[in-house]
Amino acid sequence: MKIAFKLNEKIVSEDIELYETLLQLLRRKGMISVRYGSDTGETGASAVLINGKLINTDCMLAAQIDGHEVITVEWFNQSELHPIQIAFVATGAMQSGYSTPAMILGTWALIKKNPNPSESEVRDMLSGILDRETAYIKPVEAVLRAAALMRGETNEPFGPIYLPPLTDGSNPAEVDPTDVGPIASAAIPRVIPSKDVPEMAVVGKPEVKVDAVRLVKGNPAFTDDFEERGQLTAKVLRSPHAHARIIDIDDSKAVALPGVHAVLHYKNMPRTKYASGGQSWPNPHPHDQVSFDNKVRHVGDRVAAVAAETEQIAKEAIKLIKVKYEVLPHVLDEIEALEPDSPVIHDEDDTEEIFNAERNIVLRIEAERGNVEKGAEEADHVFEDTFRVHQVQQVPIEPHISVAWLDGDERLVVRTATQVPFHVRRMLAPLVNRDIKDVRVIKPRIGGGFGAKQEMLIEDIVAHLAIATRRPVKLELDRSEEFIGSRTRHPQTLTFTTGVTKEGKLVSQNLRLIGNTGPYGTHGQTVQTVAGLRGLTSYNAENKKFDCDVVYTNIPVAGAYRGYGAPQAEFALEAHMEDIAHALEMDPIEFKRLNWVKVGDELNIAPHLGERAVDPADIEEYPRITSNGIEECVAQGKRAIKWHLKEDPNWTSPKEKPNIRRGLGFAFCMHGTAIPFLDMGGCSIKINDDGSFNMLVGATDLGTGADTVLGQIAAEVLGVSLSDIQVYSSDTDVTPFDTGAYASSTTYISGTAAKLAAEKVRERLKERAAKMLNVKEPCTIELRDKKAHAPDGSFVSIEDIAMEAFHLEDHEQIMGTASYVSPECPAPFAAQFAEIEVDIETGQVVVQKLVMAVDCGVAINPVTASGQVEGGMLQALGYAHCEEYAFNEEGCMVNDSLGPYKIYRADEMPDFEVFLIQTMEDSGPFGAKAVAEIPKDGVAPAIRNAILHATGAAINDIPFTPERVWEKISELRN
Amino acid sequence: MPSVLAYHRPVSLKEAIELASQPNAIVVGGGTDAVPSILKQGGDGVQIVDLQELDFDKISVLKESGDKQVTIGSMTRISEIETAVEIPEILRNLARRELPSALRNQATLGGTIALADAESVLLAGLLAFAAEIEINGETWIDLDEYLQTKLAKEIITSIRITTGEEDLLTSFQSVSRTPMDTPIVSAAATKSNGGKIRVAFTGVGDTPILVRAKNELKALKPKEDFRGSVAYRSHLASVLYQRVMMEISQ
Repeated sequence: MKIAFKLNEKIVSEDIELYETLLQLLRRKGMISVRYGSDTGETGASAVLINGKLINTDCMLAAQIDGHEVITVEWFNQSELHPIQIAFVATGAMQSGYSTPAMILGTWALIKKNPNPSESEVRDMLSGILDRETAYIKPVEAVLRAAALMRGETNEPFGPIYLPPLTDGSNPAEVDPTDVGPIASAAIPRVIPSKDVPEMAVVGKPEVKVDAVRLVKGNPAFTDDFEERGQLTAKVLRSPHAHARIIDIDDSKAVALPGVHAVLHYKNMPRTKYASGGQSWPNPHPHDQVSFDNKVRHVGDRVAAVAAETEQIAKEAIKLIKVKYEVLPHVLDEIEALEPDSPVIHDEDDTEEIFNAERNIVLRIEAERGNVEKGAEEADHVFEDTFRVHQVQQVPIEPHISVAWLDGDERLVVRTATQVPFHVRRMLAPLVNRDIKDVRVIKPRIGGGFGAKQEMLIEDIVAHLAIATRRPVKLELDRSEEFIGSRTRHPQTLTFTTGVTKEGKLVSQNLRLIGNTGPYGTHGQTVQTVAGLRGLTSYNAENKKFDCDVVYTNIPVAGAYRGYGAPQAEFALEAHMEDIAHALEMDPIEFKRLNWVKVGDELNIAPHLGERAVDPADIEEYPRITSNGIEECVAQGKRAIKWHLKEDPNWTSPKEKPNIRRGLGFAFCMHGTAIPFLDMGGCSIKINDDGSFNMLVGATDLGTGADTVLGQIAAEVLGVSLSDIQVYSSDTDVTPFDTGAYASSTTYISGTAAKLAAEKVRERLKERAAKMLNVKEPCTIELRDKKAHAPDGSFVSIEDIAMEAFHLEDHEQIMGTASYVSPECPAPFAAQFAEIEVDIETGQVVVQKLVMAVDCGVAINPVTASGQVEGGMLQALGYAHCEEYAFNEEGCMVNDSLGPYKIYRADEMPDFEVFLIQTMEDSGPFGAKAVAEIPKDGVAPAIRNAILHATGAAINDIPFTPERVWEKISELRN
Repeated sequence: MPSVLAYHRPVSLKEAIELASQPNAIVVGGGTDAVPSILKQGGDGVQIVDLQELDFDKISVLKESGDKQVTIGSMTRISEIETAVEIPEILRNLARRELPSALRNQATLGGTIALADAESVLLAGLLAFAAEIEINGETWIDLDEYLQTKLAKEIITSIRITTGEEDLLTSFQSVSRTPMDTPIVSAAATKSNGGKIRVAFTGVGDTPILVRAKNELKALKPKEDFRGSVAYRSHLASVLYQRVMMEISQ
C-alpha cells in the first residue's frame, strides 16, 4: 500500500506493508528517536506528535497515518538546543534517556496548548510515558522550567540547596516540630555538607551529563539505533509449559519457509554447559544451562530460535516449528519444591555441583560467628518472625536487545545492551567455540538495566545465529518475553530468630532463608549471600548465623535486580526489629539505634559470606565501619516526614474521613559498596593536542550518570572542566577491563581507577610543566583552570604542554592507565521514612510521601546522585505496593504486560524528598561511597511499619495490595 | 503470512457498514486495542475497516423542555471527552482515569464501548448516566442492553446522555492498587432531580454492570483474579455501594 504523510513538515510518500506499525515505518525512515518499549502503547517510548497530539506509534498501523502529520524529536534538532531540550539537560531529567524524546514531544504539545501548565497537568501529560529511572521528579521540573523558558522567563541555575546539619554528625538530636525545613522543588537535592569535605572545582558540582545532548536530541545511542547491512531478525520459540521434556522437534516447515536462514534447537546445537549470570571468573556453580535444551523448566523457557529476513517471517517460522512435549508436574513455591515428592527440575546427568538435585536444592550456604544457640539461651527474650517476599521484574523500558555479526577478520562482534561486556565476552567464547580474542563485545548506551542486563541472556542466541547464517542477526525481546524470558527478583521465605536482653540489646540473630532462584541457579548463590550479609550486618550481636537453601522451582528465572538480596532481607529485618521494639515497649528508632552499627564497629559476619568467603579461623581482623552519617539522616528525615504527627490522634484518625487511618514508618538502611577483593575497574586517559583528554573506561553507564561522574573525578584531578574530558565506554577491543555495572561499585571502584589514571597523567603534566617553566620541583606545580601553575605565578596551558609533547620536544603520548580493586566495602547508610493512608474498610493503601536521607559519602554529582535515589525509591515503592508476578494453575504468568503488572506512573506518585548527607569516606574517590542500590532497601519496611502504626496490622508479606491489607485488618478485628 | 489482507477507509457510513459486515472485518477506531491484537494473533487474514474518515467526532448539545441532551460522536477521542465542557464533570474525570495521556489521545469512545471491558470506569459512568448508543446511524439502544448483547458487527455511530437542566448529583468511588490504576472494583452513581438513582460497577461482572437496587448486589457474580477474590470483590461492591449512595444523598 502506498501512503503519503507529513514527516517533520516534509511530505513523504512510502510503500508500506499492511501489518507494519507506524513505529516500524518511522524507524525505517531513520527516525530513531522513536523507540520500542512495548506493542500496546504501555510504555510510551514510541510516542510522537500526530496532528500535534502525543500518540503511541507501537499500537498504530502505518496505514492509519496516511494523510496526517507526524513530528518527531528530529524536527527540533538544529545546531542549538530547543528550550525544552535545554530544560531537560539542565535538570538531569534523563538518566538513560531512552524515553526522553517522547517526553520532549509531550512537553511541546502541552506548552503549545497551555503556556503555563500546573504540576498536575504536567504529570498528566507524562502519565503515558513510563519511566523506571527518574521517578518523574526531574522530568516534571524540566517541563515546568521549559514552559518558563518558552514564556520568555529565565530560570535559576539548577543545583542543590545546602542545609545546615541538625546534629553533630554522630549523636542523635531532637527535631523541632515547628521547623518546616527547606521550601524548594522536590527535584532539588538537599545536601548537608560536612566540614571534613574540602571545596572542589568539579567534584560535588551539579555538572550536566556528558551524554545529555546525544540523549536529548534522540541521536543514535542505543543498540537498535545502529543497523548492520543485511541484518536478519531473530525470534525465539518459548515453552508454553512450566515443566516438560521435549520429545521431538520438527523444524522442516520453518526451514522451508522463504526468507528463513536458520532454525536452531537442541537437535542441531552443541550441548555446552554454562551459568548465565554476568559474574567474575570462575562463574559460581552449578552451570545448569545450555543454549538449547531438550527440557523446558518454566513457561517462557527457550525452545528454538529462528533468523529470517524480516520480523514477520521470523514470527511465522516460529509458529511452524512442531514440538512434541511430555508435560511434567511443576512447582512454583520454594517451600513446596523442597518436599520429597516435588518434581525434580534438574534430572540431567551433566550438571555438576548441584547440592541436592533430587530435592531441588541448588546449594546450601552456612556461616556463623559466635554461637547463636548459646546466645539465644542467654537472652532474656527470643523473638521469631517469618516473612515472604515475592517476585518482581526490573522492567527496563529498553528490553534486552543484541546484534551479532562476523567482521572482516571473521571475528564475532556483539553489540548488546549489557551491564557486563567483559563478562559476556569471556562467557560467550566457549559457547561459540572461539577464543576470547576472537570475540568483541560493544556496549552502546543502555535504556535501563537494573541488574536484568547483568546476564548473558540472549547474546549466545544471536551469536549462534550469526555464525550459522554468516549474516548480522538482531534479537530484541518483546514486553511479554521481558517478563517471562529474562530475569526477576528472587522470592524468598525468611525467618529471623533474635535473642535480646531485657534492656533491648541484641545478643543473637539467626537468619534462615529459603531463596527461590527459578529453574536456573544464575546469581542464586550471590543474591542469597547478599541477603544474608545485609540481613545480618546492620545490627550488632555477638552471635550470628546465616542458614540458607537456594531452591529450584519452575517460575521465570530469578537473577540480579538492583539491591541484589538486600531489599528482601532488609524488609524482613526492619519489620522484625520493629515488632521486637513494640514487644519490648521501646520506641522503634531508639531500639534500633541501641543496636545499629556505628563507626568502628565490626562487620562481624561479612567476611564469611560471598563468592570469596573466608573461614573464621583465617581472619586476623574483621572489616569495620569507617564512616556513618545515620544520625543526621534520621534527624533530617524525621523533620521532613513530620515524625511528631505520629502521636497526634487527630492526624492518625482524621474525623472528616472515618474510614481512613494515617501512619508513619521508618526503616534503617545499610548497604555495601562493591565486592571487596573482586570488583575491578580499569581506566585509561590520554591527552589530545588541544589539552583535552580521551578517557576510556570499561565501566558501563546504564543511564546512571557513571560516565559523567567518572569524568568529573578525572577533571578534578587534572584541573580541567568536565567538557575537556571525552568519556567512552565500553568496548572490549578498546576500553580497559571492568567487571561491570553492579554491586554499587562504579563510582567507588571505577572512580578510583579513573582517579589513579588521572593522577598518572597529572604527574607527567607536572614534570613537563616544571621543565617548561624552569621549576626544579615538579611537585610544586598545581593544575587548575586548564593550566599548570608554578609557585611564582608563572604558568603554561595544558594545551601548550600537549603541543610540546606531540610536536616539539621529548615527543610522547602523555597518558595514564590504572586499575583498582578494593580491600574495603564501606557502607552507605540511610533513613527511610514513609507516610501512608489506609482505608480500613477496603484495605487500600495510599502512599503519601517517601523521604530518604542518604549518607553516600561525598556525592560526586548531587543531581545524578539524587536522581539515583529517586529512581531507586520508585522501584522500591512498586516492590512494596503494587508489582507482582501472578500465575495460573499451569504456572503461566497471567499479568505479563504493563498495566496488569502495575508500575507507578507520573500522575499518581507520592511526594518524594531526598537528602544527601555528606560524610568523608577516606577509602573512596574524593570521599564517595555507593548510592544506587540503597534506595531499594527501606521503602517496603517503612511502608509496612507505617501500616502497622496506622492500623495495628503487622503484615509480613508483600506487596501491600488492597485485598492482603484488608484481610490482615479483618483478622485483627475478629 | 501477513495477517492483514486489506485496509479500508470508508468515506460513508453505508460503505463502512458494508465493509464491516464481511466475516473477516475488524473495525478500527483509534486502534489502541485492535492493532495489537491483530498483530499478535496473526493467523487468518483480516480486513481492517478504519473509521477515521467518517465525520463521527463531534460533540453536540440539545436543550429541550428542561432536558439537556449531549450527543458524542463515536470517533471522539477519550482525551476530547476529558476536555469537553459540554460533558458532565464526572464523565470527564472518568475519561482521564480511563487511560494514560498518549493512549487517551488515540482511543475512541466508540472503541471503548465496543470493547465492553469489564474494568472500564468510563463505561460505568456512562451506564450511570443511562447513555444510549446509536447503531449504524439509525437505531438507538440503551448502553446497558448493548453491553449485555454486544452487537459485534454493527458500527457504533453516536452516544448520547440526557440530563436535566441542573447537573445530576454524582459520585465515583473505587479501590485500586495505586491511585490511577485500573480499579479492582469501582462504582459510579447518579441521582436525577426526580430522585432516580443509577449505580454502575466495574470489576464485578463480564462487563460494566448496572445495579438497580441494593439487593441486586448479592446476585453479582464477580470473576476473581490475582487482584481480588470473589469474596473480596463482593465486599468492595457493598462498601462502594454504600459510599456512592451516601455521597449522592448529601
